[in-house]
Amino acid sequence: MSDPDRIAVVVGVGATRFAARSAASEPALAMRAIAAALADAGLRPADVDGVVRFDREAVWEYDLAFALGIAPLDFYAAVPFAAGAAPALLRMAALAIGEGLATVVLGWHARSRREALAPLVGGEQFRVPFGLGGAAEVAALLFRRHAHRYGTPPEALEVVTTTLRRQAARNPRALFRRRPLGRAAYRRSPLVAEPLRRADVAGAAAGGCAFVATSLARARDLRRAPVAVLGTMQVALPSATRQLADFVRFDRERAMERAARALFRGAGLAPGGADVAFLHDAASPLVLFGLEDFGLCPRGESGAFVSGGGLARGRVNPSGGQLAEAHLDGINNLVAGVHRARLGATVLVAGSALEPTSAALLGLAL
Amino acid sequence: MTLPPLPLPGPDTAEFWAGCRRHELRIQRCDGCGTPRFPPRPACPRCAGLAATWVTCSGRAGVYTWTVVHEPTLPAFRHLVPYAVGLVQLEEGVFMVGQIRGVAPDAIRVGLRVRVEFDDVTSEIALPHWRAG
Repeated sequence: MSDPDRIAVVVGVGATRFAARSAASEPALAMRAIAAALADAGLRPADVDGVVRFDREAVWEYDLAFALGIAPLDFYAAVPFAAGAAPALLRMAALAIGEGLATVVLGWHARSRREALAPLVGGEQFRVPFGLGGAAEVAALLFRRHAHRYGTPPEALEVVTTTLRRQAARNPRALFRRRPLGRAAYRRSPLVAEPLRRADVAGAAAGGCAFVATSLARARDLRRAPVAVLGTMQVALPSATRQLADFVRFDRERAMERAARALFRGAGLAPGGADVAFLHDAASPLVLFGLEDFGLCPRGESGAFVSGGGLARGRVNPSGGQLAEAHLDGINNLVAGVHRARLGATVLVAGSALEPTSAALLGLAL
Repeated sequence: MTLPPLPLPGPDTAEFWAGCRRHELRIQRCDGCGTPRFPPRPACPRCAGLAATWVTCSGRAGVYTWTVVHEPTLPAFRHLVPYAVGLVQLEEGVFMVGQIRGVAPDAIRVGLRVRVEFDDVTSEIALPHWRAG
């Protein structure tokens, strides 16, 4: 596909200030992020004719029409499974632009409330009543199985968490920028669900992020260097939080490896061949799973990989990610990925390894 | 005692929870290919068959993986800490989540043999858990 009217590029990104909690509503945070992304792109609300959002979102399409004057919309779509959804927003935007369904597509996610416990009518009724209440407990138990199968030591989690906290010190937006965590301090962090410690689990955060995508042809008149969507993928794995019993029966490793290889091949890259990777990291074991899923290290060897310096030089989650920048369901990893791609890096952004998930490859458009 | 968040049985899951109330562990078995399945659902993941029969499990299982919770996400479990909760694989092959009791947390291993027991939580709901030995 070489028609510059049909090649999707990201031309703007924006974010609110990130905080542990906020008095601002999610709609207010969303509007601030959207306004920032449009300003970054040099576009007006009236230019937007498509929107993509998470399915669990406080702002809906019609809210935008009244709050910012974005109307009418020729294309809108919502993606489920919050922690796996952020890269898929870019996939939907690229689809709409590639098919000529819209010319300027806005994507966003904002979060400020704690997740309320939904009535236990679905798969959660076979997990939550037994005391496995959140993603932290689920990640702990899946890490234990990984350790049993591959010999992964719990010290690998310490390396991941202390590395991300160190990287956040260079990110002015990061919640933990002034809270470095040495190895001794890590070991004093209280156990949450063995072997995970409080520091291994992303806490509550408030904030919003947005991006604007358009065609390469239109981007030539805009102020920012366009970032190309080199490839995207979605995989509908069972959800570890909703259907844990299915999750462990399903050969998720093979399914993820197959999808990831196709993603890199489609972009003309070797497996794992991105300069920088943003892996969803709501809990530290997810980084290990992501490294293996996307071929940054061989299957089962993530423990040795991180202990041997594999995370050095900010190659993984240089912004600090969900653990140390802010826990915003991965939308901030997508925005950070666009910033890195503007500097010339080839960037992987991947959603949660525990949910039906998605990933995107970004690079400067030539 | 603080009640845990309780399940809301629906058309597909009511028989499982009714079985728990009688202290029987019930799963579906596909009428077409004989594959046991859990959690309950309307179709077989192996052969896509729509017909199934409920059967009672032996109640014997092995620990597949586990964690010991010290700071639960949900406040309703704070009075239990530290507690072990895991995923067990039943003799019939299916997996279930449940608390693991009757063993020191640091003595739990993958493959530890456990058997089902039930807590009568309300007049409607009994929750299965797993006891070592």
